[in-house]
Amino acid sequence: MTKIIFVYGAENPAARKLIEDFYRDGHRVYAGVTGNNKETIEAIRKNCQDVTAFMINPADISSVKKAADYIREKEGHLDILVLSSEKRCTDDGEIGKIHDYEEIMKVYDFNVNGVFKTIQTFLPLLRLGNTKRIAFLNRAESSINWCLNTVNYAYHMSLASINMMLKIYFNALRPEGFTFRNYCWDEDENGKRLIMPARDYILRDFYNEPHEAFRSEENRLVMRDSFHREIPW
Amino acid sequence: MKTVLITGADRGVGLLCVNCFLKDGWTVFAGQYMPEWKQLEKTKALYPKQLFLIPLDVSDTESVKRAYSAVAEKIDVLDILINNAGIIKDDSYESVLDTFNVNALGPVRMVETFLPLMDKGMKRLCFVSSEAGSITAAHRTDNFAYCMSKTALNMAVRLMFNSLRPRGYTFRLYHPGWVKSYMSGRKSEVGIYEPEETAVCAFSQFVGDRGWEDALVLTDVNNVAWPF
Ligand SMILES: NC(=O)c1ccc[n+]([C@@H]2O[C@H](COP(=O)([O-])OP(=O)(O)OC[C@H]3O[C@@H](n4cnc5c(N)ncnc54)[C@H](OP(=O)(O)O)[C@@H]3O)[C@@H](O)[C@H]2O)c1
Repeated sequence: MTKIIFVYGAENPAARKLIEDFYRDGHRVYAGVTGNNKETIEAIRKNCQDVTAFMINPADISSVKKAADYIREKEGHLDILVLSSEKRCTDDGEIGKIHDYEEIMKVYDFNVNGVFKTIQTFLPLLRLGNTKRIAFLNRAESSINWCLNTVNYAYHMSLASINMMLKIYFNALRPEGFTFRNYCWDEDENGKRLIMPARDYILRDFYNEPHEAFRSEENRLVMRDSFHREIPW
Repeated sequence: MKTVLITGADRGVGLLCVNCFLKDGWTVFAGQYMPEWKQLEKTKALYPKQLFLIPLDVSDTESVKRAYSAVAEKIDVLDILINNAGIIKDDSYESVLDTFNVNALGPVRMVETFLPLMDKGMKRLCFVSSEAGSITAAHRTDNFAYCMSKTALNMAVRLMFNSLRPRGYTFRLYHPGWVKSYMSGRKSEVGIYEPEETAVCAFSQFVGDRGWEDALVLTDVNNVAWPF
């Protein structure tokens, strides 16, 4: 069945690929490009002619609203909201190097408030649809348990905070019938046989699966990668 | 005499931690954020040689630098740094940033500013986090700003741990329990623990050694470990 999908953070490689996959599969796809990335807009226009791409400034909620209003006008509802936010500081090294705290704040605002505003703005449209799904394109290094890195504070703190945001939304919205996908992607995936590519993971209705184990997944928030491995928080 | 610096020490858990360290004979630098609140000054009168009050706003880089200069004027070695200062706010976008700035970025500012004093000491970094930062245990349906700030703090501590544990630093990540403290602006009537109770437990975890320093664990007032 054709889905109405909005992909926010379309300049990130995994989001770009998803837009192309969804488009090829015949879904009606809209793209939100953040970070003033004109090349992405051009690439989407070239490769996916029917995809409407919006330039979104996460600092300016009116740009998010504009995209939501457009989709409401055209489609009346939204089925799936896919989010991606991967901004990093230009120089964010090890502890002790003395960080640029203002830049960390800006990056956190861009990543975390950007996703927060987008979910809040699109919730009414998602409520009007039947699928009611929120997906986040994540990275395994957002796991506080697993992370082995020593640099990129703004980026890591943003992703960990977004995991918490999704958990709170899960608690609030799952009783309304919302479902969530928190998918970790990796550049290393290229050329490998993936057990669960992002497109499949995000579209699949686990609550329809014959196996209880899969169905039960809808009732907790999990973070999984393309090999369907569960990643701890 | 061993030395400790505690942020957000005017009242609540921070102030009671100050008392525990003073009673145990430590030299204590108490970060003072609200000079109009006189409790620290009363304590100073009781321990004039052991307690130093340091004006400190952990969300302000210049204030943290000035605090460093004031402490470095008095001592060459800081043994323990306790990042306790914390705020809770509503869920507006501004509050998301403000809460992050104090609760998560404040400790990053403090640690990297004070590291030069810590390299020759006990090398212990303590952080007052919260169950509210645990994604596994999260049960709330709002309170985004506070919960996200504590998750961000836990992540920042992980990154610091990855860098500094190989250099001999040890870490304490502490959840004080539900405390009858002043986070809402006045002394809370609800809560499970008095600040004194959780401070005593915090003190024993902060000064005591562990046989498992290579693991970063969030522990609470009952010495129970929490998942991230
Ligand atoms: N109370 C609980 O149930 C609970 C549960 C879990 C974790 N915690 C954590 O425990 C820690 C201590 O909190 P508490 O319960 O003792 O609350 P509290 O009584 O409010 O103590 C926190 C102290 O930090 C100060 N502070 C605020 N902003 C600051 C800044 N920018 N720089 C320096 N100091 C600042 C506060 O001053 P103001 O009063 O002027 O803001 C206050 O004196 C916090 O990190 C909190 O998140 C508390």
